[in-house]
Amino acid sequence: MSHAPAWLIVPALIAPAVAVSPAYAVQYMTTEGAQKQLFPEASSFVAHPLRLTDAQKDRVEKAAKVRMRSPEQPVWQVLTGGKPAGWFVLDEVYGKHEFITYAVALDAAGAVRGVEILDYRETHGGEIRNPKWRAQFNGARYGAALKLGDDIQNISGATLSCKHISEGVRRVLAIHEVALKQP
Amino acid sequence: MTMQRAQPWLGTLVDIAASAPDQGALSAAIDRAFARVAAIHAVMGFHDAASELSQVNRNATHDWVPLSADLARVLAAACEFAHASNGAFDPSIAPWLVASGQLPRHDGCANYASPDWRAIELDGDRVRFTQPLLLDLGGIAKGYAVDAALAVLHDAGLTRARVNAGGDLARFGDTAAPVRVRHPLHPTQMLQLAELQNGAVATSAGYYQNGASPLRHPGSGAELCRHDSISVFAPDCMTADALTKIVAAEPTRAPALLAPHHAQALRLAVENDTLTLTACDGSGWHKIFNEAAA
Repeated sequence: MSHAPAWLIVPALIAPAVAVSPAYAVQYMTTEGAQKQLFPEASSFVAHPLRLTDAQKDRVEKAAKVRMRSPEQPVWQVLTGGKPAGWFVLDEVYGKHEFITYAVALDAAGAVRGVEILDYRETHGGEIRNPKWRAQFNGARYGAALKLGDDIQNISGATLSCKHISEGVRRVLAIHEVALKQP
Repeated sequence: MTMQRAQPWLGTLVDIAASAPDQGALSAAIDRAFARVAAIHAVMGFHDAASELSQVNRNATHDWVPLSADLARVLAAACEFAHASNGAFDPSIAPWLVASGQLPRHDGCANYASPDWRAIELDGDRVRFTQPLLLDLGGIAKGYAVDAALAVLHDAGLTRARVNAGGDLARFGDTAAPVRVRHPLHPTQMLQLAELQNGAVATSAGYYQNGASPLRHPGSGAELCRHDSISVFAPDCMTADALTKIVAAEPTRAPALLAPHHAQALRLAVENDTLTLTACDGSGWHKIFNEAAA
């Protein structure tokens, strides 16, 4: 390594950081934090939890071309100066190795104005399919204080595709069309 | 204080972590950095039929197409890397990825074109193709976006910051920080590779791809990085991003191609149950480490 440039420090011995599970997890923000981030001007967020009928669920799945695992969706109506200003929709998606909680901000016309990740975790896969494992993160989602680790991990190594989030946002837009859109 | 946020852009998660004494300034700087990434996504996205790149793909065979400053810069860099590597980096191999279903098929584009970067004719802020081509900047645009976002954070006067777009990462700061990469066979396990203070690293690997690897040898079309990963450390992330593809395709020519950029490559591979780490700089390839794989 005689030509190592000054900005790079390669340790003499590369010590493998032995597997721990979950291998990588970040809690970015709480539900409340995401609401403030996506709608800084809002005066209030009114809980508006959805429970879709079977017919509505079918329409959402047809329009979005993705499955809706649960008919329930946590949603808040956003008010600015007492007037409807949009929707804050909480959603979660999971793939083979990752479980992601994120929020979609819709403006009053139903267009996406932002997406923020609340919680991201990777694991070996098996536990992601276990509803009890996933449920343990609901506490964090709904506003328990999060603390950011001092050790912000720098992980290079491609690339969990965010295909599931794209599908999730499509589903959220279909839910808006079917169940939230004001006549 | 430190803030960390993530948003989905560029087909991956873009994660920004930054520190500054003042929370308001920090938050505003991160907002601006994400806005910069979003703007680059809108210009260079292959998946979006309305992106500026898609307009180039539809129209540059017929006539000169004007380019925004960002797209002009990235196309110029892509052509330079293609030239320097004699095509080991090639932004025109998109038809192979369309054929395998890894990229979408857009109407009005040359979805079956033969790759040939030499058919890209760049003239400052305009471009045309001298034969039908389909360009994809997936091998370089993420690195460019990371650099652009980090520049926003640097200009805001923050103490330290890091931008990571699905493994293409760059940082600056007052101290060095460890960089980890995924185990080639067990991608949720991390291995510490190096420490980085000011600079960038990008990793190309086939993991998380079901079936075909997204990396192809531009000469032969052969899939690369099925069982190994290539990380390149370079002063900026666009260079690191492009060089990973070149080192993966042409390992024997890597020393000569890395040297002009003061870059260094690290290859993690599992062969015969042994995890091997080799490094490459201007002087050649060197074995650093191997150990029986768990």
